[in-house]
Amino acid sequence: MKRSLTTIIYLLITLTVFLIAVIPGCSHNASLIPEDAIRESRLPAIAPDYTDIVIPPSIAPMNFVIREEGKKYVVAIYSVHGDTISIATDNPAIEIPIESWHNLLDVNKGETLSIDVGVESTDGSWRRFETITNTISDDDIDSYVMYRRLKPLHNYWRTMRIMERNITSFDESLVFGNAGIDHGCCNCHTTLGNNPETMLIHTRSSLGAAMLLVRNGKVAGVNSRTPFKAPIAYSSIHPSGKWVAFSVNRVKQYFHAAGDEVREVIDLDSSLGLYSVETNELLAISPELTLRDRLETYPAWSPDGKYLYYCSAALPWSEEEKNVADTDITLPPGYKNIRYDLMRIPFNSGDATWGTPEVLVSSEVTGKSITQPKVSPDSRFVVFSMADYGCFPTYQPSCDLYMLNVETGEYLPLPSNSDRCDSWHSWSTNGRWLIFSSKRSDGIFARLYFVHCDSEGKTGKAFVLPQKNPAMYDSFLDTYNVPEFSIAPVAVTNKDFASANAALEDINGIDVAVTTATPQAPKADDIRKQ
Amino acid sequence: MHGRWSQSLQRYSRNILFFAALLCALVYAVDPRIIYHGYGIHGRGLIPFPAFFKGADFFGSHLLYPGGLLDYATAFCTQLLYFRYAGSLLILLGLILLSRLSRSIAQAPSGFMPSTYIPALLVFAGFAQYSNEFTSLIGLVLSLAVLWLYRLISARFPRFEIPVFALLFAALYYTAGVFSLIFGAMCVLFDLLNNKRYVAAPVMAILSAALYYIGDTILFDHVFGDDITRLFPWYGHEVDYRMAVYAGWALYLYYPVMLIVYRLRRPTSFDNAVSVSEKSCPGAQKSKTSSFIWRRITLAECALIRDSLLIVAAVAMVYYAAYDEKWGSLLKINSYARQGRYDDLLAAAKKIPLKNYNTFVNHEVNKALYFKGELATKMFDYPQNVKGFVSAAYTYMDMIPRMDTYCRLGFINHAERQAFEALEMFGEYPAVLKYLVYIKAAKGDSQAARVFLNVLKKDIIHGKWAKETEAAMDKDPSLGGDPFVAQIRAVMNTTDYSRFLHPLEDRVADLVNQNKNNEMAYEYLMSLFLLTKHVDKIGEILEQTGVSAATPPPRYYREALFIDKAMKKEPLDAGNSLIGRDTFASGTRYLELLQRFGRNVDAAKIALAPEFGDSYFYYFSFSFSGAKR
Repeated sequence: MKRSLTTIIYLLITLTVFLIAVIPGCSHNASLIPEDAIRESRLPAIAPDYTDIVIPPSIAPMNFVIREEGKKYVVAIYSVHGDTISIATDNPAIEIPIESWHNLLDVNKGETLSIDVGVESTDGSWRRFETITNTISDDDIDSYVMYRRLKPLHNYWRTMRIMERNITSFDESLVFGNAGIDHGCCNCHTTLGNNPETMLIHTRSSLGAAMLLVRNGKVAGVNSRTPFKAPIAYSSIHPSGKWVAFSVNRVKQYFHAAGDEVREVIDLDSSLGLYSVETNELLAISPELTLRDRLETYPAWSPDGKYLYYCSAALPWSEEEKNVADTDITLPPGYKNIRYDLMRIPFNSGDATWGTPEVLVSSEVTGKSITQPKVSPDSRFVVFSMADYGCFPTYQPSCDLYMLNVETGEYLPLPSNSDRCDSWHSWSTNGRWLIFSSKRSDGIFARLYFVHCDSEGKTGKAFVLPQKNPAMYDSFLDTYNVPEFSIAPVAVTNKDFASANAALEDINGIDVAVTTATPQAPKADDIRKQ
Repeated sequence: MHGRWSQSLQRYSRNILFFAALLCALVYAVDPRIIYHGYGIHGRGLIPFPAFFKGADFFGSHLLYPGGLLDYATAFCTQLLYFRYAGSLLILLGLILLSRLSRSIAQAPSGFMPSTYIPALLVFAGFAQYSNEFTSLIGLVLSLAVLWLYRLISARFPRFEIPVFALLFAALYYTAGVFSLIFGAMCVLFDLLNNKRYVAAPVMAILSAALYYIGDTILFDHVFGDDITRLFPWYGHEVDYRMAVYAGWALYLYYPVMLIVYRLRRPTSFDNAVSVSEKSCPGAQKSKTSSFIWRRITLAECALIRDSLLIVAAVAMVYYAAYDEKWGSLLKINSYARQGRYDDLLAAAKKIPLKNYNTFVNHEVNKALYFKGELATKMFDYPQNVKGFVSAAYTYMDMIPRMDTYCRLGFINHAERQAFEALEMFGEYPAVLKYLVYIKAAKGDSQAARVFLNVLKKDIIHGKWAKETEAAMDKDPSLGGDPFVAQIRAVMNTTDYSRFLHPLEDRVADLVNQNKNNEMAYEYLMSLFLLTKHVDKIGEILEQTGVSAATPPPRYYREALFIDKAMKKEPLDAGNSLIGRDTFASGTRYLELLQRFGRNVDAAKIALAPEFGDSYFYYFSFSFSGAKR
C-alpha cells in the first residue's frame, strides 16, 4: 500500500515535470529579464500597437507580437495590485492567459498597466526595452460587439455574415448568415440602445427585401419594399421602440479606372421615412424630410427620442440625368460635388409630430460631406463621418471621424483618425467608449478599433480589437463594418432570422410621400415659402 | 519457389495492370493540373477552391464542425493536383484504397475481382471530367474503412455490436460529416443481407438517424439535413459535370447491389484466377505434338491476356465516356494559359471545333499569340470575335483570365476589381492572391500586398514564392525589382473614367497614349482596329510610330494598308515599301478571285478559304477567320 502510494507520488512528480517541460514558455513565475540586459531607450516594436492607450477593464487579453529580432522573449505584465503575469517563450507571438489577465485588470481599474519586454538576441545577449504603459479605465464597456464580416466586395458575393464577438473573450458567433436567404445580402443592422432584445436586420435576396425585426424574443419579417423603387435601408429605432426612422436610397455602384479606390457608391436619390412597429405601417413624415430636390439619409434618433438627426445634400442632377445614371454605369456628372449637411429635426413622441429642421454642421462651411451621425447616450455629443464628398464613407480614404458638441456647436476631428478611411462608429451604452471600423492598416481591410471617450468628449489613441492569435490580422482577408456595441448576445438564432425572412408580411399604408415616387413631395423652396 | 512467385504474379498481375492503366490515364489523359487550374473558369460553375494553409489556426478551424477533417484532407489533396505525377499518384492511392475496401466489404477473395474495380472506375470517371472528386473519394474510403473496422470488432465482440456501431458512427460523423450516413446505411444493409439480423439492423438505422440529428441540431447548431445535399452526386457540380453525377449515382447503387450479388453467389473459379491457374489449356492437352509455344500457354495465361485487354479497354472506355470534349478542351486551354505553355495552347485551340470556340478561347489564343509575337501575323488563322478580344464575356466565370489581361494591358483597377470578385467567388485561390500581391505592389500599396503575401506564405505550393517576395519587399517595398510588378507599374492606367465611358478602342488607345512603350496595348489596339475594320487607323498609327521600309510592318498591317488604299481607290503600287511586294501580289490576286464570284458571297467564302483563310483580306470580306482550319 505504502509502496503504491510512493509510486503514485513519483508519477505525479514526473507528470508535473513533464508538463512544465512540454508546455513551451508558459512559466508564470517572475524569472523575467536578466539584470545585465542592455537597455534600449525606446519602446519595443509590437503589433498590434497596444501602447499608450486607455483600455476597458473587461477587455479580452491584448495579445501581441513582438516585432524584434530574437530567439527568446520575456514579457512581464503588471500593475499596482495583483500578480505579475510573466511569459517566457521562444515565440514572438505573446498570448496572455485569460484568467490572469482579467484578475489583473479587475483589481487595477484606474491604474496603469505596465508591460516589460525583454528579447534575447541570437548571440545570447539580452535587450530590455522601455516599459509600455497603458491605462486601465474605470469605465465599463459593453461586452459584445455585433458587426458585418465579409470580403472586400465589388459586385458579386457568396458569403456575408453578421457576427457577434464577446469582447471579454475571443468567442465569435454567427448572428445571421446569408446562407439562409439564398446567399442574398444581409446588411444594415441596429439595436435599440445597444440591447439586442430589440433589433433589426435588413436583407436583400431572391426572397425579397426584408426588415427582420426582433422584439420580445421573436423575429418578424417585413417586406421592406417602398414606393421609392428601393427598400428600407439605414434605420434607427426610436428609444420608445414604437417607430423606426429609415432612409430609402437609390444606391448605385460605379468603378474607377484609376486611383487607389476602385469603387464608388452614390445615392442617386434618397429620402427618409417612418415605420410604426406596432401597426406595421409607414407613417406620414415631415415634408422637410422628403424633399424632392434634396438627398436625405442616415437617420439617427437622439437617445431621449426628441430629435432625429440625419444628413441632407442638394440633389445635383435632374430627373432625366438621374434616370440615365440609374441605367448606365457611367458616373453621373457632379458626383464629386455632393456634400451632406448634418441636420436634426425635433420630434414629439406624444403625437408623433415634427418640428422645424436645423442645420447643425453645414457642408458649405466644412467643404466636406457629413454622414453617419451617431448621438452619444447623454445626447451631448454627435460623432459623424466626414469625407471629401459623397454618401458612402467606406470607399473614401479621406473619411475621418468628428465629434460635435451639441451644446456649443463646436466639432473636432478625433485624434485617433488615420490617413485612411475611419467610419462606421457606435457608442457604448455608458457613452465612454466608441468603436469604429478603420482601414488604417492597409487601405483595404477594415478592422474594428476602440477608443475611450471621457465625460468632456475627449478621446485618445485607438486600439484594434484583440484576437487570440495576435498575428491574425496580418493574413485575414475579411473586412469588418457596421460595428455596434451590444450589452448581451443576440437571443434569437440564425434559423429564426432565416425563417422570418421566408415569411414576409407586407407593410400597411405605404402610400406616403417620398421623393420621386410621389410627385406630391415638395421642394425645399416651397416649404420655406410656406 | 519460382512457381509460387509466378503464381503470385499471376494472381496480382491484373490488379497491377488495372491500376497501372488508371495511372497512365491520370497522368497522360486527365492531367491533374487541368483540374487545379480549372477553378473559376467560364461555365464550370461557382465552385470555391479548397484552399489549404499550414498552421494550427487552419487546422483548428476544421475541428469546429462535423466533416471538417474531411474538408481539411480534401483541401490538402487538392493542392497536390498542381503536380502532374504527385496528383495522379494521390488519386491512384485513393482509388486503390477504395477498391481494396470494396473488395473487403464484399467479402470477396483475393485475386482478380472485376466487380470490385467498379467503384474505382466510377470515381475515376469524375476525375476524367476534370471534377475534383477528393471529397467523395476520401469520404467513401473513410466510410468503408470504418465499416471494415466495425465488422472486425463486432465479429470479436458481438455483444457490443450496437455500442461499437454508435461509437464508430459518432467518430465518423465528426470526421466526415454526412458521409457517416453511408457507413450507417452499409451497416444496415450488411446486417440485413449477410447476417440476417432483422432486429439489429433497424436499430442501427434508427441510431444513425438519431445520432446525425443530435450532432446536427444540438451539438453543432446546423440546419438539420443541410449537409445531406453533400451526398448527392450533383453537390458542387454544375450541369456540365453530367458524367460525374451519373457516376456518383452508380456508385451508390453499386454497394447494395454488390452486397446482394455476393450474398447470393459466393466466388467461383471465374473470380479466382489462381484456382484455375493449375489447369492446362485444352489445346495444349489435346496434343503433345503441338508447337512449343502453344504448349506453354495455359488457361490461366489465356485468361490473363483476355483480362488485360478487358482492363485496358474498361479504363479507356470510362475515360472516353467521361471526357467532355467541349469543357475538356476549354480547361486544357485554361491550364496551358496559366502555365504559360503557349505552344500547347495554340495547338489545342486548333483542335477545338468552331461551335465550341467561344470568347474565352479567343481571348486566351490572342494572348498566347501576343506572347509568341505572332498576333499580327497569325491571329486570323483562328476564329476571332471582337467581344472576346480584351474582355471575355462579362460574367463572373471569366474573372481570372480577365484579371490577367487587364493587368498586363494596364487596366489596373479593372484587374483589381476582377481579382477581388474572384477572391469572393472562388475563395483563396493562390493564382488570385498572387495577382492581388502584384496589383497592390504596383499601385504602391505594399501594406495591402503584404496581407496577401502572408496568406500565401502558408500555402504549401506557393509559400516559397511568397517568402521570397516578402524578402524582396523588405528590401524594396515597391517591389521594383520584380519584372512583372515593374511591367504593370510601367503600363498602368492613370486616367480615371468609368468602365464604359469610352469605346474599348478609345480606352486601349488611351493606354498607348499614356505610354508609347506599352507594347501589348499597342498590338491590341492595332488588332482591335483590324477586327473592327478600321483599316484607315492602321495606316495612321503606323505613320505616327514611324515605321519604315527597313522595319516593314507585320503581315496583317500590310494587308490592312493594301485594303485601305484599295478602298480609297488610291493607286496600288508594287513598290510601296510598307505594303511590300508579297502583300501586293497576294492582295491583287485576292481581289481578282473575289471579283470572279461577283455577288455570290457564299461561293467566294468557300473557294477562297484554302488559300486566303488565314489572311486579313478574307476576314475583311467575310467577317470570318480561321477558315483554313
